[in-house]
Amino acid sequence: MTTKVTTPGEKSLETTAEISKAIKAYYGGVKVAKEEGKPIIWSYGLTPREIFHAMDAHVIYLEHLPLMVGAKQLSGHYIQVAEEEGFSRDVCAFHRCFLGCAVASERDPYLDQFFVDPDFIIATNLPCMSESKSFLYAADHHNVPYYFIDAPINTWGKDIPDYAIEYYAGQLKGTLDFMSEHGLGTVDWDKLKEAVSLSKKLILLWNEIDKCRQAVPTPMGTVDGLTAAYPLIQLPGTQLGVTLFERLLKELKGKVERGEGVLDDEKLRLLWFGVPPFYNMGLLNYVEKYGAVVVKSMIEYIAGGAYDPSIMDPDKPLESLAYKALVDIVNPISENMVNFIRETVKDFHIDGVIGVVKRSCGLLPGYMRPVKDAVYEDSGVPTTIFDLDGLDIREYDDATSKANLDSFIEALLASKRR
Amino acid sequence: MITAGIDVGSLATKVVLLNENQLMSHEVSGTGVDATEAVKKAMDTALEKAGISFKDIESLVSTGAGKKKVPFESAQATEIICDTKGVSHICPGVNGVIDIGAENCRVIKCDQEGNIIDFALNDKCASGTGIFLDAMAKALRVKPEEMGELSLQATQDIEVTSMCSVFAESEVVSMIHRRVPKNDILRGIHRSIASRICGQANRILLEGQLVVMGGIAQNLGLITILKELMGSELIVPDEPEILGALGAALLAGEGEGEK
Amino acid sequence: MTTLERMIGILDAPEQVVMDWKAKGKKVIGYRCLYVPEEIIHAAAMLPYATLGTPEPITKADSYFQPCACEFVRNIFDLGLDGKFDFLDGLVLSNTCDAVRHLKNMWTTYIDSVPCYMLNNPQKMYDEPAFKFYRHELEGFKKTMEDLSGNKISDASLRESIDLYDETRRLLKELNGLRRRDVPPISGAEALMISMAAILMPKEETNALLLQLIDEVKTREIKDADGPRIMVTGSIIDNPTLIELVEDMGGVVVADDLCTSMKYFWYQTKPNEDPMDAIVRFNLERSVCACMHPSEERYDFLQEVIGEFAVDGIIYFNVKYCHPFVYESATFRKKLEEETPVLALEVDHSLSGLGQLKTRVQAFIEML
Repeated sequence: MTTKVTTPGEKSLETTAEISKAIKAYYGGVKVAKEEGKPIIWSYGLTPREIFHAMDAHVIYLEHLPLMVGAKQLSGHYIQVAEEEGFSRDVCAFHRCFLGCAVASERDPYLDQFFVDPDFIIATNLPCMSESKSFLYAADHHNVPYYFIDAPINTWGKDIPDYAIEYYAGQLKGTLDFMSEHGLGTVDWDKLKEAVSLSKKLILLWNEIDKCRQAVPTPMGTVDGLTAAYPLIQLPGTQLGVTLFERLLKELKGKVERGEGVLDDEKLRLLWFGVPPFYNMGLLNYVEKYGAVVVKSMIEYIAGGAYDPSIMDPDKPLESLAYKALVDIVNPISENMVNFIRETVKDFHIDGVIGVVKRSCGLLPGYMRPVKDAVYEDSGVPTTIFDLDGLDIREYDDATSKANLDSFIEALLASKRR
Repeated sequence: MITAGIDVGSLATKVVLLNENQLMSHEVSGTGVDATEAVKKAMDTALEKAGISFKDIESLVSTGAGKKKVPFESAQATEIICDTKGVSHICPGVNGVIDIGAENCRVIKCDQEGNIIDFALNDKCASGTGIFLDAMAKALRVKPEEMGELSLQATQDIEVTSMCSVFAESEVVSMIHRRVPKNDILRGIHRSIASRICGQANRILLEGQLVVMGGIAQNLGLITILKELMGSELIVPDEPEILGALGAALLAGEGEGEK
Repeated sequence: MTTLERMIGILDAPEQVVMDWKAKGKKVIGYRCLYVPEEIIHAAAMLPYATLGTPEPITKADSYFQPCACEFVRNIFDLGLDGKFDFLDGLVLSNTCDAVRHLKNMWTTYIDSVPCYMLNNPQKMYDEPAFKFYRHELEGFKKTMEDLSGNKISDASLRESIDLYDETRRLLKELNGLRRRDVPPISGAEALMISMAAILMPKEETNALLLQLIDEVKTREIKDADGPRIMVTGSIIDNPTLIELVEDMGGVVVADDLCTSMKYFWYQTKPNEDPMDAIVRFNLERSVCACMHPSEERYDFLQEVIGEFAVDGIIYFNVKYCHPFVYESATFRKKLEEETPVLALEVDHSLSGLGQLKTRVQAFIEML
């Protein structure tokens, strides 16, 4: 047995502890719903959460569940299960992990607390295209219906043409009808409008939270930030999401006023690009010995975090949600992603970008070089890129990861001294 | 000011002593199983060669995979920093460094003043490094230090496609059975390593005038193919394995690790 | 020289096809993937040219793409960086996988010599709203081709192009249909190379050659046809090494599911008053790639071919990091195996290092 090299991340905020409780409560609710015979949905990607909340649907998300499994160090096991089932190592680790959980003959007691079989599946190709197909396997395995939302890629930038909005919004309508047909009751349009209005509020709050994080020293690093992003990603369209963000904003404002930071004496501010090691979030705290803070992580912004909410109109709920999804920074191939990172580096006074490559990812590795070049050209800020699979603990090499971080930070500090 | 640099590699431990940045002495010895003991011994020999005693050292920096095993109080620095420092001291103005060690391969891009612009470390796979070569030498029953020379006598190009050392070994064994000439296999092996290193260098767009350092830099066969593949000017300095330790000693002279 | 030799010979220097065309003062548009409608490019009096890879190692592209990006896409980008596609007047990509999406991004950012265009095709088949969306995209694409060529595309010229390409597809299907015979007239490797040559050449020439070729091989019989009948399926390959290996080991490759071969010609457009609509439906009522939904369409195609060509065994290969196919393969392999033996292989796009797979292929064929 080797010595354990992983450690959980150290969080510093009260509200993120509350958010963690909300996550547990959410999955507790899923479990109860299943026992009561209500339909359970498996879904994935940027399928607008607002439509699920408007239907009071209980959903397990393919990208969220593996994070929890990963944080408990169980991801390696379930990934292995999927590989034995015939899934190549090229298949995204999140999908392998989820499928492993789905097909495993025995589930860990921890997983059993919140993982239940689906009654139907809603898949999409946003942001990753082929990934939607792994759900087909699950649909076959559980013999349940499957609905597919086809999202056009964003070749337009900020101005999405009406015919694209119409195509995507039409499919959201199709999703609502599909849910209705499969036991979720009739669509309550007033509730959907309310959800869009709450979603708008949520993003406005997130933008204010972001402003606080620009402060030096930053009151919230990404170890807290990844938990704090949960309402943004999974709770848009709910009052709970809004309430949690109001509290978070209040807490952060207080910290900024008092000049309290994650570190009081910040020497370096870093941005994480790619999936951080969820089984070893302590790696993000590791850099603190140099006086460095990972201020932000790009994946906190998946699902609307980089989005201008002013265009959301509750009276046009489906069109608003279509626009929000299609302009999202992770929808290839527009320059929205590169431009977002470019701006973030400036606004957050970032000194260096850490880009990590998960080899089974089809989406983010393709952005590494364009992001690196754009940021360097714009702000002279360097980016380091190395392999790190944020979910598959079997691939993790602590010494190499730390050697990369050490080398990068020493080089940054050396250039700061110049 | 007398300064010391210690580079504890996984196979070799290097010590360099400087006086006002001028070389007093250096020592290279095997790391073995006890790195702490190896450092002590190498330090003692270097001190003896320089004719000074340990208390004369005013500042000390250590680097390398085993830097935490150094039994003296010292500052620590990464290989990236020390390599660049050492290289730009002896070859000022170069565009970058390729450091091929026993278990690691590092490529560094720097500017004219020796500031680091970018770097890339190898992943945990060792197929671009010294131990890979050693494994192949064993399979072919040749001495590691003779491999490069022999590969230069190859008469044809053989492709070794396996990147993983385990598979490459079985591929090589099957070539021996098929009576492929040893020298040709060696050339194939060197080409496979060189293309791996070249790929790593490509990741950071490394080009121009480059210094190759580390123990493997003395392998002329590898350098020849690497030159061919990269199209860059490669400089192999004398004593290429001590440059990391030299860099560490120079850093010590800049005030890092003062006692 | 036989027609067969002449066609296969085209692959030795595919650029020559382009040079002859350009000598007439006409433009050439590179395209990647079958979801780019060649007919629209052709109707603007330009040559659609399928950009294929080479087995050469990748060099410069490695500093742009991470090594986990599909090798085929890295290969194309490498050739682009090297100026090997500078003879193109434009490059058109279609939205069929994550890697190609990134290729568009990289190409536009880093290669100035050839403009790049992305066609945003849906992944949903048999869906009216998808047809409507795609029609909008195709109108934009048509306009771009008109601007690039300086030629207006009329309904009549588009219909002519469609007929021309349908004829190529029909002839290739007729030729390959002969492989249903107990002793096929052409080997699997030959069939792939003929298709690739036909894809690369101007169709006016292709069709004439194919007519001759069908006549020429009608009475031909390949040697060593006693082995098991094999279908090869998987993602893109653009050289015959893998099929040759299977045939060297005693298999008779009678069919495939490749976009460089049978998937190119299996379907025809359906009669339609509006030629643009004909293209919309042609592309969204056939499955030539694992990226399309529903997956059943591709699975049904495989089943159809297995039956028609009396397939005894399937070689199911995944090209490393080819996500669309990698995702589908676990599902498909399991289902296919219920009736037909399957050998699953993982290969590099360049198909180098196949030697290591020899024993497994051999064992599979012996088992059959």
